[in-house]
Parts: sequence; structure tokens; C-alpha cells
Amino acid sequence: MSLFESYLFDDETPNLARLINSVNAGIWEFDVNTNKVKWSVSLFTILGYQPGEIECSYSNFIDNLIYYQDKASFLATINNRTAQSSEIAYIRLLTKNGYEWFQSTVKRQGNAKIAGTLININQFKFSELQLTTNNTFVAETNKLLKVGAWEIDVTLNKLFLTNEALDIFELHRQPATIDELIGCFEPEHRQLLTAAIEDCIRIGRPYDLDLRLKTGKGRIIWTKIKAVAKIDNYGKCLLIKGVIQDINVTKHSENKLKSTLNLISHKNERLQNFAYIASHNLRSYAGNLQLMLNLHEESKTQTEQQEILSHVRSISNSLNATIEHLNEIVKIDLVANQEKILIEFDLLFKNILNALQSNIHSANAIVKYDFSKCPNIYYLPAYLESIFHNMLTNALKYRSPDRQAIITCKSHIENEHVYLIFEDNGMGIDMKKNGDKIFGMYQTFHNNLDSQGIGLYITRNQIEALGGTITVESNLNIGTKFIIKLL
Amino acid sequence: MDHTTQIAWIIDDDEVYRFGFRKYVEVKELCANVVDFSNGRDAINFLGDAVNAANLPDIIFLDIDMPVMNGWEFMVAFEQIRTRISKKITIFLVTSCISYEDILHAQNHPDITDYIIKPINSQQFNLAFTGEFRKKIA
Repeated sequence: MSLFESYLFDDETPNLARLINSVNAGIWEFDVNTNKVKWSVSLFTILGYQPGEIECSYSNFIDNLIYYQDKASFLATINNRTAQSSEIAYIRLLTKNGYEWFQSTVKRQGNAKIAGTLININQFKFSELQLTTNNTFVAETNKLLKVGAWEIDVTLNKLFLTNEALDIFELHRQPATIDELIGCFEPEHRQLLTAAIEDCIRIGRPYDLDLRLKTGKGRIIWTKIKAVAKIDNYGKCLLIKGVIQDINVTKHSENKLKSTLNLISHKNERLQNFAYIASHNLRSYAGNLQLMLNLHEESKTQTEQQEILSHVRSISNSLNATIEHLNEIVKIDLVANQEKILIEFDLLFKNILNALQSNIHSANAIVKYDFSKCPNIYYLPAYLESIFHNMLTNALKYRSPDRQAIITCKSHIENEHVYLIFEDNGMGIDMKKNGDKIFGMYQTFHNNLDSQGIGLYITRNQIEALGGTITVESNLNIGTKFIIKLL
Repeated sequence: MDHTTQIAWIIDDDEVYRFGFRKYVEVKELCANVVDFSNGRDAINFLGDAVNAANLPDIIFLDIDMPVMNGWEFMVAFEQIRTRISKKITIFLVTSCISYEDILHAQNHPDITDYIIKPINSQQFNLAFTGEFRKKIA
């Protein structure tokens, strides 16, 4: 005796059937042998119809009501003869308002009958869909931004990282302790992070740090760590909520930008310096030339004119030399882009010594060298030659008349940079007076006739064009030490 | 022709300029006695030596950029020995370098009368030698 057959359209239904018909779930029964179907009143209602408004049949349900894509999964629950418990499927049915989501539960009643319930879950399904979409959206956004979240439960001293955060650390499991997490960071940054976390717990101070960490795969990356404290009503920190972002790419381009900026401002400085020198030097020649021409006009005797002309000639010669010098300086930057080759300091230095042999001999100077700490370098041979040559001639030129000149040249490596040290016991320079001018053009500090004030200027430009530096330490009458960072 | 200026000094490391200066003064008959120094040190030694008291200059044309002792260093040394010098000496700073800092420094320096930019500016020179500048200052 079926529950529905007799009571389906009957007002006199017993309480149980009335109850069944009033719940927000449709109930049906299917006779396998006769293919006969019975629906509860509520099944019509949840589909939006009056009882009897649509045909209550197996074929109507399968052919018209159920969404074609969900047919297979629904039929599977019906045809599963081995199932002991209720079979559940999520299907779309055509209601009066269009397709809506239902939860279908199917239960075999012996061999002949199958019964089932249908519950409208449209609202729920949509919320779920929305949530999934939102979650996916958040996850995708986080992935794009390379952001992960983490929190520290201060009272329980427990740590939790989201999957995105674990991805950044390239870890497969949660770090067990806060110390383990801090241990992922580079040694020089650990103290910083520890202090920041402690401060956050103690006084609720938020933090924002750029730190380097070593990932589970051993990559070293830059990350940004930000956190705020969640405090209770008494101001005690309960929770630290934070985010971690992989900023490796940004940081690297930032650093690259910084070094490029550095290079450009350096270049700009040299350019400005060059423009100043060019204008200053050319100006004095132009002035002298004008002066001589005026005098020439006013001169009365031939001897006078000839004397003036000889000066014009000397101006012309100096002007030529200056333009040569300026040319040489312009060339430095052009040559700087040429290919560098591996140079043995030892061999090159000996070559220069040979070339300067007569100068060294006539100065009665002793030249010592030691390149054992750094025997070679990838550099422009022409520059290194010029640097050696200029430093040596400089030391010879400004040797002290009171003692035998001793010149030493050594190389070494410090912080991955190659250094050349030139030291002499010569006249020295008054650093207080001339320290800032020593590498300037046409700056001479001694009364030597062969001082041109060009050698150190060119040396400095050559070194700087390849990204190095040159500095000097000197004491008057004791000696001078040039410290050259080549690369 | 004004004969206020008996002795003029030119302190400059540029040999050509020294020659031109001397020649110019000669041609223009601005001053009969021109003495030149190639750096500040030689000039200050001369000034400080009591033996030379009779040969002190009325006017000094002082270059800024020089080896050994430059123009500004000369001025510092000059201040130290000034009390020992009986003569009133007018000092002009002469340079080819147009540096704003140097101009300001010269303008504010009590012992420097004016600043002359190379090459020789005949009007400025005539004024310098005839003492017009000094009158202006006084």
C-alpha cells in the first residue's frame, strides 16, 4: 500500500502524509516492474506547480524535467542495484522559474520499488558557487601578487601559514615552531625579524620589513613581511596577523636601477667635470691669443712683433696639446666598452718597467712588486698599461731629493674586488690643501717643470670608466699611497 | 698719464700671460716698473723680507689657480704679514675661471679691491692703474 497513491490528492490524508506533503521536499516512488510513478504534492510544489498541473510520469521526469547533463548521474543512482544506503546526486530540474539545483536521494525498497526525495538546494548551491569563485579569485590574486598570509597565536605560541605562504617558502609542511620559521631567513636578517616579532607581541607595534630568506629549494629570495597585532580589551597581544610577499623580482630591478643610477650620476659628474675643464682651458688660451694679437697691433718694432709671434706659436702648441689631452679623455669612455682580456699583472708590469728602465735608472729608484695575492685580472690591457705607466712615472717624478726612491706595487682581493696598491717614499702631497684636487686636470702641486697635471686625471678617468675607484693617502715628505680598486 | 702706480706686480703661473701683461703695460705706458712671480710663495717671500721694503708694489694682479701657493693661499699668508708692510697695496684678483664662488669670495674679501676676468680688459686695467678703483672704494 503506497503512501501516495491513496492520499495524493485527498484532503482527508492522515497526519503523516499531510506532514510529508507540506515539507519542502518532494517525494517520489517508482515501480520497476510497472514503470509507474507516484509523486507527493510537495514534489509539484517545489517545482512551482499545482498538483496535477504537469504529467506525473517517469518519461516526463527523465525527458523534460531533468537537465540533460545531469541525466546520467541521476540514472546511475537509480540503476545502482548494489547500493545499501541512500544514493545522493545533485541535479538541475526545470521548475516553473527555470532550472534550479536539487539534491536527489534515492533508496531501493527491495527489488521492485525505488523511492527518493528531492530537496531544493538552489540558494545553497549558488552561495557555494559564489564562495568557490571568490576563493579562487582570492587564491589567484594571491598567486599573482605572490602573497601569502600567516599568523602567530601568541597565547598558544602556535604558527600557521596559508598554502600561498608555504609556496613562497617552498615548504611542504608547516614549520613546527616560530624559531624554525625565523631560521628560514638569512642569518643577517634573523635578529631583525625576531626583534620585530617581540616588539609586536610586547607593545603591539606593527612592522614592515624587506628580508631575504632561503626557500626549501635553497633559493635565496627577497620578501616583504608585514604584520599587525590583534589585541584584547586590555591591550594584550593575542594574535599576530601578517602577510608575506615575494618581492624578489622587484627588489632585483630596484637594485639594478640603483646601480644604473649610480653609474649615470657618476658619468654625469665626469661629463660636467670635463665640460668645466674644456671651457676653462680653452678660455685661457683664447684670452692669451687675443692679448697677443692686440699687442701685435700696437707693437712698433720688428723684434717686438717677432717676440709676440713666438708666443703665439707657443700658445698654439699648448692649445694643441690640450686638445690632444681632451681628446684622450673623450676616448677613454669609447674604449671602455671594448673587450677585456685576462692579463697577468706580472708580465705587464715587467714590460712597463722595461719601457721606463732609463727613467728608473737615472732616478736611482728601487721598484718592488708582488702580485702573488691576485696574479691576474680581466681588464683592458691599454688601460692597465697606462695606469702602471702613470703611477710609476708619477712616483719617479715626485721622488724625494733627500732619499733613495722606493716604489712598491701590490695586488690583492678584498670583498671580491681587485685592488692595486702603489706606495712610494717621495715628496708626498699636502692632503689638507690639495687632497680634493689631486685627480683634477692641470692641477700641479710642485714646481716641477715637467708637471703637466694630466697623468692622474687620465688615470682616474680610465679607472672610473671601468667602474673602479682611486683614492690617495699621503703625508708631506714621507710618501704617497694610491689605492686603486680596479674591478 | 697718471703716475700713481710706481710698481706693479703680476703673480701668475702662465708665462704667456705674464709676458702679455708686461707688454701691455709697457705699450699703454701704465706703469714703469712691472715685476712678475710665477707663484704666490715667491711673492710672499719677497713681501715678507724687510730688505725689500723700498721695492714694495703699489698694486698686485693675483692669479687664483697656481701651483705651490695659489691666490687664496697667498691672501691668507698676506694677512699674516700685512702689519709688517708699511705700504698700502691694492690687490686685484685676475683669473680666467668664472667661478661664482670665487667672485663672491673676492667681493667679500676686505683686502681685495676687485675681480678681473682674463684676458686683459683695457678699461678695467686703465681704471686699476690710474687708481680709480681705489677712489671708488675709499
